[in-house]
Amino acid sequence: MSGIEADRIEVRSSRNWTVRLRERIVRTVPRGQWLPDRQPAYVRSWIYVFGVACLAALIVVIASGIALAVEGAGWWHVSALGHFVNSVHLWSVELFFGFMVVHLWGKFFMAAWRGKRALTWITGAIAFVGSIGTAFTGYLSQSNFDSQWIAGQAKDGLNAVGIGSRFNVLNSGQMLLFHVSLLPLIIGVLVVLHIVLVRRHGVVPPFDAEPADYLRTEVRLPSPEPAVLAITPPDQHEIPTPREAVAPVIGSAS
Amino acid sequence: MMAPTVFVAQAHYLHAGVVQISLANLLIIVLMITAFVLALVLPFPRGHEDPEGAPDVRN
Repeated sequence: MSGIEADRIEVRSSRNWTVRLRERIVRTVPRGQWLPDRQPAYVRSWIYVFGVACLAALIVVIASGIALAVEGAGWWHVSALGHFVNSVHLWSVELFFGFMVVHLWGKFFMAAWRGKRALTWITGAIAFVGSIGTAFTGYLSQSNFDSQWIAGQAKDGLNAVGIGSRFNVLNSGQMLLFHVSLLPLIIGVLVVLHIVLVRRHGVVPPFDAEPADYLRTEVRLPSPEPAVLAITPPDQHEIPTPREAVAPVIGSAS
Repeated sequence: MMAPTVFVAQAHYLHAGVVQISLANLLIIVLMITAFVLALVLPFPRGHEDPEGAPDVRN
């Protein structure tokens, strides 16, 4: 009996939810997949950079947003540093959306939902739509004439499509809370899920990837030795995921 | 005391039939398409060699 089989029997019989949660996390993203230092050959393209560029921009968005929330509107409207941080927040959002749109185009044209990656695609799409709502409430939270004008226009638009009864864009307090708490929380959870799924299933290969690109993909494990994996040549509709390939190697190593 | 007046430059709009778009938005779209195309065609820099002599990615 391998170590993993023994662990599974132990987990099934364990009534300790901490043990079950720990093992669930390990099974979802096995050891060696969280921060891999090796990637398949097809990842060697600039088009794969835009996903992590989104993440980098999002970190700047959150950091500058925290500074704005701490100091308040009286700071970002009048002080030089406040103006600067306000602009950093705006332009990091602009870059975030620019990177995200190019990331979306790239993933759409390579049909990134292939190989059991549908949930990865869905979480990314919902995060994109949620980001639009977060940016919109950000415009409403500027506390200036611009935000008043946008709220007035948006009120008519949202009423016209029949969702104006769910929230009031003219209620600046509600929109500010949407912007700084509710929507960032939703986006944050979706982004974490998206990244976990990307790590679990691996980066989607291009259509013309050769089987040699998959074979002998190297994954370094902390112990005992770096493992060299032999992955089954892919079918366009059933692409093997790194997790499926890694699991038996981990089992045999333990 | 008078409040400071902010002068906002008039936006330039382009018209083509029923389509109307500001010049700034059009430039942003063109920039994103350019970035997308360049990402597809520009070669990616070579990976560093690690101490074990294996490349970061297979060629």
